[in-house]
Amino acid sequence: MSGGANMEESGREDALKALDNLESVLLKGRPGADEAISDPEVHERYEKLRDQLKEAQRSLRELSAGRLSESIGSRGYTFGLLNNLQSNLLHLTWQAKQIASGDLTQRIDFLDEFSESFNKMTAALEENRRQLEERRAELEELNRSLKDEVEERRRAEERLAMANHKLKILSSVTRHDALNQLTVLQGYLELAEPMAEDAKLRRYMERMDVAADIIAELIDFGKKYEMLGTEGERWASLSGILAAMDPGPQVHDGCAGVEVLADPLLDKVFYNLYDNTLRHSGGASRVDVSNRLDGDDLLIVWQDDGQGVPESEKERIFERGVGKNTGLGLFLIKEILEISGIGIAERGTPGEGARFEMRVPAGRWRYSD
Amino acid sequence: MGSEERRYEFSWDLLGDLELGRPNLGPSVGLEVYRLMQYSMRDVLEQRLGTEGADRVFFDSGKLAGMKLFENVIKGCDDLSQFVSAVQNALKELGIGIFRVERSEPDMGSFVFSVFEDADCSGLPDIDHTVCTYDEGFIAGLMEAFTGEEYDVKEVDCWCTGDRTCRFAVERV
Ligand SMILES: [Zn+2]
Repeated sequence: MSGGANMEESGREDALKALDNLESVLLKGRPGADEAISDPEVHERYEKLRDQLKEAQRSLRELSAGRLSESIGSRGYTFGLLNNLQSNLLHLTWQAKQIASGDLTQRIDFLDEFSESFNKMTAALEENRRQLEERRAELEELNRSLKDEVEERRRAEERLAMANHKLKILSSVTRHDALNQLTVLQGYLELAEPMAEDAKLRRYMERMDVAADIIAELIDFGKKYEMLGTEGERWASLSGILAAMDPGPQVHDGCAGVEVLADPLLDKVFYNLYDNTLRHSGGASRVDVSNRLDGDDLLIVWQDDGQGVPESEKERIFERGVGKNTGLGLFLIKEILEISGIGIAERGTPGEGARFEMRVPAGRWRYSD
Repeated sequence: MGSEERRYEFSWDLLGDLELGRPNLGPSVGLEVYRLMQYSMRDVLEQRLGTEGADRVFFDSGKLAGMKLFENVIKGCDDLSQFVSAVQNALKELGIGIFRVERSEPDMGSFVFSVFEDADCSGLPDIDHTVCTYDEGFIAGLMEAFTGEEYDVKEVDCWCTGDRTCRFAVERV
């Protein structure tokens, strides 16, 4: 009797020990220190269960670490679930690869919340891609029309350059021939003048002479105007230009050291101003050329002591064809200055002389040593 | 059979007009009926032809079904993506199973597909062998119809072996 009680007692001990160890494997991942189970059958069953539990844990660890290639070794419900999990993870990995390779048509079914968010994401990606493609098509279209436009513009520029070239040749040839004929005309006038006995005829011939001079000036203007802006810009010293003025009314140079960045025709500006004073000032005796700062601009002032310009004329004198001679002098001045960003205006007091103010913006003037 | 004229050569028309035929009961029958037919037929085939012979018949029938389903339901697919989507849809719509791809290497002609809730085996008692021989043939038929090449399909895991999902290794022959 007592032997049977002992057997029962030790069987219960074995069972509790097995359960303790299995609990330890479940919760801590390893059995306790004491695995000595006396009943061989219980011991064998315990070890089998322990190893399966550890195998399931190992598989779970592999899966949770993202290692999906190893096949789930054991069978049965629990391992079946692990197998399901592995299959799903492999499938998701495949789906992700498909997306990476640009296949956005795949959808995932029956994985509950996951399917929903995954399918939403794929649909959104697909929509984005569609929009991108649309945008790209638009850009391509735009690019095409821009290219066409550039090409059209290039052709237009070519045509313009060609026309310009022809025009230049035409005007140069015409000018050359006209000057020759003019020289012939002036020569014969000179020869004819002493023969003219009739006073009226002589007066007519003088007027012809004047007209011939004006024609020569007009031709000269054409030549200069054509050159304007074609040779780039350069720094020019005002004193250098003023020193070359013909003696007439005395020019007082108050611009020592001033240099201006402008078209090479800048000297013509001052020759023409001088010519203007000479012809139209009504007897000026001196000219003062001075400079002063106005903000960042440099103001260059041409002041004579002649009759000045009436208020009503101040604007008009710069127009083409206005003036007592060819009407081109002041027009050319304005054009030459404008191309270099320099403005000019007449601001003198009528009766006290003409005063031309030229405004040179910063960067276009400097003082040399 | 020799020169005897065939009576049951398969054609899609044999499936009949489902809407006309069953105005009240509809086109579906219970899964147990499908299995009843499959496993009773399997029983008799095994008795007559042996296990291997019965399996061979099932595989070949599945293959014929797969090719016909492709021709009549799935039809033209330009690439693998379209094929997978179409098969997925067809198997879902027809209640055959949830088809998923685990791995694909088209260049090598090597794939692993899985079918969840397979009509043939899901819920069957655990036994020590795979049972979805018909599905093996079915997948082989789909693949051959799609690629024009012959494929070997082996069910490596099955509900019946306790795996809760059927997994098929698919290799080009
Ligand atoms: Zn199966």
